Amino acid sequence: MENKIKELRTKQNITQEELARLSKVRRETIVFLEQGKYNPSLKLAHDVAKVLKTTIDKLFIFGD
Amino acid sequence: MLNKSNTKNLTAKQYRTITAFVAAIIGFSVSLANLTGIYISMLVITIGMAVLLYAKSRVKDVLEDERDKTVGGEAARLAIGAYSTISIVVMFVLYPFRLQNPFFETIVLTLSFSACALMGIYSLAFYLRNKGVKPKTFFWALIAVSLIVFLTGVRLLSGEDSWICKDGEWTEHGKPSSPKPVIKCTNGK
Repeated sequence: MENKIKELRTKQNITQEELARLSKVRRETIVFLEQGKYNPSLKLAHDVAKVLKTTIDKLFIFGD
Repeated sequence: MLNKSNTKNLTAKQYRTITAFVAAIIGFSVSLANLTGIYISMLVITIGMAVLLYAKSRVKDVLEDERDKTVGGEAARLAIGAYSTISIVVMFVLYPFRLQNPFFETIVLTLSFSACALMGIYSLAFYLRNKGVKPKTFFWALIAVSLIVFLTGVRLLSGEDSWICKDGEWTEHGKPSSPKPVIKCTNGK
Protein backbone atom coordinates (compact mmCIF):
# COMPACT_ATOMS: atom_id res chain seq x y z
CA MET A 1 0.00 0.00 0.00
CA GLU A 2 1.48 3.30 -1.07
CA ASN A 3 1.60 6.23 1.29
CA LYS A 4 2.86 9.76 1.72
CA ILE A 5 4.62 9.26 5.04
CA LYS A 6 8.10 10.13 3.79
CA GLU A 7 6.83 13.14 1.85
CA LEU A 8 4.99 14.63 4.83
CA ARG A 9 7.74 13.71 7.28
CA THR A 10 10.47 15.47 5.31
CA LYS A 11 8.22 18.50 4.72
CA GLN A 12 7.85 18.87 8.49
CA ASN A 13 11.57 18.20 9.14
CA ILE A 14 10.90 15.15 11.27
CA THR A 15 13.45 12.35 11.30
CA GLN A 16 12.47 8.68 11.11
CA GLU A 17 13.76 8.26 14.66
CA GLU A 18 11.53 11.05 15.93
CA LEU A 19 8.47 9.84 14.04
CA ALA A 20 9.06 6.35 15.47
CA ARG A 21 9.38 7.73 18.99
CA LEU A 22 6.21 9.80 18.70
CA SER A 23 4.29 6.89 17.16
CA LYS A 24 5.66 4.48 19.81
CA VAL A 25 7.20 2.06 17.31
CA ARG A 26 10.75 1.15 16.28
CA ARG A 27 12.55 3.13 13.59
CA GLU A 28 12.71 0.00 11.42
CA THR A 29 8.90 -0.07 11.33
CA ILE A 30 8.82 3.51 9.99
CA VAL A 31 11.35 2.47 7.33
CA PHE A 32 9.15 -0.46 6.29
CA LEU A 33 6.06 1.75 6.28
CA GLU A 34 7.68 4.36 4.04
CA GLN A 35 8.82 1.68 1.62
CA GLY A 36 5.29 0.27 1.49
CA LYS A 37 6.54 -3.10 2.75
CA TYR A 38 4.32 -3.15 5.82
CA ASN A 39 0.59 -2.44 6.21
CA PRO A 40 0.03 -0.84 9.60
CA SER A 41 -2.82 -1.58 11.97
CA LEU A 42 -5.60 1.00 12.21
CA LYS A 43 -4.17 2.26 15.50
CA LEU A 44 -0.67 2.73 14.10
CA ALA A 45 -2.01 4.39 10.94
CA HIS A 46 -4.00 6.78 13.16
CA ASP A 47 -0.98 7.50 15.40
CA VAL A 48 1.30 8.24 12.42
CA ALA A 49 -1.35 10.41 10.77
CA LYS A 50 -1.81 12.32 14.02
CA VAL A 51 1.94 13.00 14.35
CA LEU A 52 2.08 14.20 10.73
CA LYS A 53 -0.99 16.37 11.32
CA THR A 54 -3.09 14.73 8.66
CA THR A 55 -5.75 12.03 8.26
CA ILE A 56 -5.47 8.36 7.39
CA ASP A 57 -7.19 8.67 4.01
CA LYS A 58 -4.86 11.52 3.01
CA LEU A 59 -1.78 9.67 4.25
CA PHE A 60 -2.41 6.26 2.68
CA ILE A 61 -3.30 5.60 -0.95
CA PHE A 62 -5.84 2.83 -1.16
CA GLY A 63 -5.89 1.05 -4.51
CA ASP A 64 -9.24 0.11 -6.10
CA MET B 1 19.19 3.32 47.37
CA LEU B 2 18.03 2.80 43.79
CA ASN B 3 14.94 4.67 42.67
CA LYS B 4 13.59 5.64 39.28
CA SER B 5 14.86 9.22 39.47
CA ASN B 6 18.54 8.41 39.93
CA THR B 7 18.89 5.22 37.84
CA LYS B 8 19.97 5.79 34.25
CA ASN B 9 17.63 4.65 31.51
CA LEU B 10 19.01 2.26 28.90
CA THR B 11 18.73 2.52 25.14
CA ALA B 12 17.67 -0.45 23.02
CA LYS B 13 21.27 -0.86 21.82
CA GLN B 14 22.59 -0.99 25.39
CA TYR B 15 19.93 -3.55 26.30
CA ARG B 16 20.88 -5.75 23.33
CA THR B 17 24.55 -5.53 24.37
CA ILE B 18 23.65 -6.59 27.91
CA THR B 19 21.52 -9.45 26.52
CA ALA B 20 24.40 -10.72 24.37
CA PHE B 21 26.79 -10.49 27.32
CA VAL B 22 24.43 -12.35 29.67
CA ALA B 23 23.74 -15.01 27.01
CA ALA B 24 27.48 -15.56 26.60
CA ILE B 25 27.96 -15.99 30.36
CA ILE B 26 25.03 -18.40 30.59
CA GLY B 27 26.31 -20.37 27.60
CA PHE B 28 29.76 -20.55 29.16
CA SER B 29 28.44 -21.72 32.55
CA VAL B 30 26.23 -24.37 30.91
CA SER B 31 29.19 -25.65 28.89
CA LEU B 32 31.12 -26.04 32.15
CA ALA B 33 28.23 -27.82 33.90
CA ASN B 34 30.09 -31.12 33.83
CA LEU B 35 32.93 -29.57 35.84
CA THR B 36 31.13 -27.10 38.09
CA GLY B 37 27.88 -28.98 38.57
CA ILE B 38 24.44 -28.27 37.21
CA TYR B 39 23.30 -26.21 40.20
CA ILE B 40 25.85 -23.49 39.49
CA SER B 41 24.61 -23.30 35.90
CA MET B 42 21.02 -23.05 37.15
CA LEU B 43 22.05 -20.29 39.54
CA VAL B 44 23.81 -18.40 36.74
CA ILE B 45 20.73 -18.77 34.51
CA THR B 46 18.43 -17.48 37.28
CA ILE B 47 20.68 -14.48 38.00
CA GLY B 48 21.04 -13.79 34.28
CA MET B 49 17.27 -13.76 33.79
CA ALA B 50 16.84 -11.43 36.78
CA VAL B 51 19.48 -9.07 35.31
CA LEU B 52 17.74 -9.08 31.93
CA LEU B 53 14.32 -8.44 33.47
CA TYR B 54 15.71 -5.49 35.42
CA ALA B 55 17.56 -4.13 32.37
CA LYS B 56 14.39 -4.41 30.28
CA SER B 57 12.47 -2.40 32.85
CA ARG B 58 15.05 0.41 32.46
CA VAL B 59 14.80 0.62 28.67
CA LYS B 60 13.14 3.81 27.44
CA ASP B 61 13.12 2.89 23.72
CA VAL B 62 10.52 0.67 22.08
CA LEU B 63 11.91 -2.86 22.01
CA GLU B 64 9.04 -4.61 20.27
CA ASP B 65 6.18 -3.14 18.27
CA GLU B 66 3.22 -4.46 16.28
CA ARG B 67 5.35 -5.30 13.25
CA ASP B 68 7.66 -7.47 15.37
CA LYS B 69 4.63 -9.31 16.76
CA THR B 70 3.06 -9.79 13.31
CA VAL B 71 6.27 -10.96 11.67
CA GLY B 72 7.15 -13.00 14.77
CA GLY B 73 3.81 -14.80 14.63
CA GLU B 74 4.27 -15.67 10.96
CA ALA B 75 7.85 -16.78 11.59
CA ALA B 76 6.73 -18.97 14.51
CA ARG B 77 4.16 -20.74 12.32
CA LEU B 78 6.76 -21.32 9.61
CA ALA B 79 9.28 -22.60 12.17
CA ILE B 80 6.77 -25.07 13.66
CA GLY B 81 5.91 -26.34 10.18
CA ALA B 82 9.59 -26.67 9.26
CA TYR B 83 10.46 -28.47 12.51
CA SER B 84 7.56 -30.91 12.07
CA THR B 85 8.49 -31.61 8.44
CA ILE B 86 12.16 -32.16 9.27
CA SER B 87 11.18 -34.49 12.14
CA ILE B 88 9.05 -36.60 9.78
CA VAL B 89 11.80 -36.77 7.16
CA VAL B 90 14.41 -37.79 9.77
CA MET B 91 11.97 -40.38 11.15
CA PHE B 92 11.51 -41.96 7.72
CA VAL B 93 15.27 -42.00 7.16
CA LEU B 94 16.44 -43.32 10.55
CA TYR B 95 13.60 -45.54 11.79
CA PRO B 96 14.13 -48.37 9.26
CA PHE B 97 17.74 -48.65 10.51
CA ARG B 98 16.92 -48.68 14.23
CA LEU B 99 18.04 -52.28 14.64
CA GLN B 100 21.49 -51.35 13.37
CA ASN B 101 21.83 -48.54 15.87
CA PRO B 102 19.43 -48.24 18.83
CA PHE B 103 20.33 -44.55 19.14
CA PHE B 104 18.38 -43.94 15.91
CA GLU B 105 15.15 -44.94 17.62
CA THR B 106 15.89 -42.54 20.49
CA ILE B 107 16.44 -39.68 18.04
CA VAL B 108 13.26 -40.49 16.11
CA LEU B 109 11.10 -40.76 19.23
CA THR B 110 12.53 -37.55 20.70
CA LEU B 111 11.96 -35.60 17.48
CA SER B 112 8.44 -36.90 16.88
CA PHE B 113 7.23 -36.41 20.45
CA SER B 114 8.79 -32.95 20.63
CA ALA B 115 7.12 -31.98 17.33
CA CYS B 116 3.76 -33.18 18.69
CA ALA B 117 4.34 -31.29 21.94
CA LEU B 118 5.28 -28.14 20.02
CA MET B 119 2.13 -28.27 17.90
CA GLY B 120 0.04 -28.98 20.99
CA ILE B 121 1.48 -26.01 22.85
CA TYR B 122 1.01 -23.79 19.79
CA SER B 123 -2.65 -24.87 19.50
CA LEU B 124 -3.19 -24.18 23.21
CA ALA B 125 -1.51 -20.77 22.98
CA PHE B 126 -3.59 -19.88 19.89
CA TYR B 127 -6.81 -20.93 21.66
CA LEU B 128 -5.97 -18.94 24.79
CA ARG B 129 -4.97 -15.81 22.82
CA ASN B 130 -8.16 -16.11 20.81
CA LYS B 131 -10.08 -16.14 24.08
CA GLY B 132 -8.30 -12.96 25.13
CA VAL B 133 -5.84 -14.41 27.63
CA LYS B 134 -2.96 -11.97 27.92
CA PRO B 135 0.59 -13.11 27.06
CA LYS B 136 1.74 -12.22 30.61
CA THR B 137 -0.84 -14.62 32.09
CA PHE B 138 0.40 -17.33 29.75
CA PHE B 139 3.99 -16.52 30.76
CA TRP B 140 3.26 -16.81 34.51
CA ALA B 141 1.30 -20.06 33.95
CA LEU B 142 4.32 -21.41 32.06
CA ILE B 143 6.62 -20.43 34.95
CA ALA B 144 4.28 -22.17 37.41
CA VAL B 145 4.09 -25.36 35.30
CA SER B 146 7.88 -25.38 34.81
CA LEU B 147 8.40 -25.01 38.56
CA ILE B 148 6.01 -27.88 39.30
CA VAL B 149 7.69 -30.12 36.71
CA PHE B 150 11.13 -29.20 38.05
CA LEU B 151 10.26 -29.80 41.70
CA THR B 152 8.46 -33.05 40.87
CA GLY B 153 11.44 -34.22 38.84
CA VAL B 154 13.91 -33.35 41.57
CA ARG B 155 11.75 -35.08 44.16
CA LEU B 156 11.28 -38.23 42.12
CA LEU B 157 14.80 -38.50 40.69
CA SER B 158 16.91 -37.23 43.57
CA GLY B 159 16.91 -40.61 45.26
CA GLU B 160 15.59 -39.03 48.43
CA ASP B 161 13.66 -42.10 49.52
CA SER B 162 15.57 -44.91 47.88
CA TRP B 163 18.15 -47.62 48.37
CA ILE B 164 21.80 -46.60 48.35
CA CYS B 165 24.81 -48.88 47.97
CA LYS B 166 27.16 -48.45 50.93
CA ASP B 167 30.11 -50.71 51.78
CA GLY B 168 28.73 -53.47 49.60
CA GLU B 169 25.30 -53.46 51.27
CA TRP B 170 22.01 -51.92 50.17
CA THR B 171 20.92 -49.48 52.90
CA GLU B 172 17.74 -47.47 53.18
CA HIS B 173 17.86 -43.73 52.55
CA GLY B 174 14.66 -42.34 54.01
CA LYS B 175 11.69 -44.65 53.49
CA PRO B 176 11.96 -46.24 50.05
CA SER B 177 8.68 -47.42 48.56
CA SER B 178 10.35 -50.01 46.34
CA PRO B 179 11.76 -53.32 47.66
CA LYS B 180 15.49 -53.82 48.13
CA PRO B 181 17.22 -54.15 44.72
CA VAL B 182 18.09 -57.69 43.70
CA ILE B 183 21.18 -56.67 41.71
CA LYS B 184 24.52 -56.92 43.51
CA CYS B 185 25.66 -53.81 45.36
CA THR B 186 29.19 -53.00 44.29
CA ASN B 187 30.43 -50.26 46.65
CA GLY B 188 28.18 -47.59 45.26
CA LYS B 189 29.44 -47.89 41.64
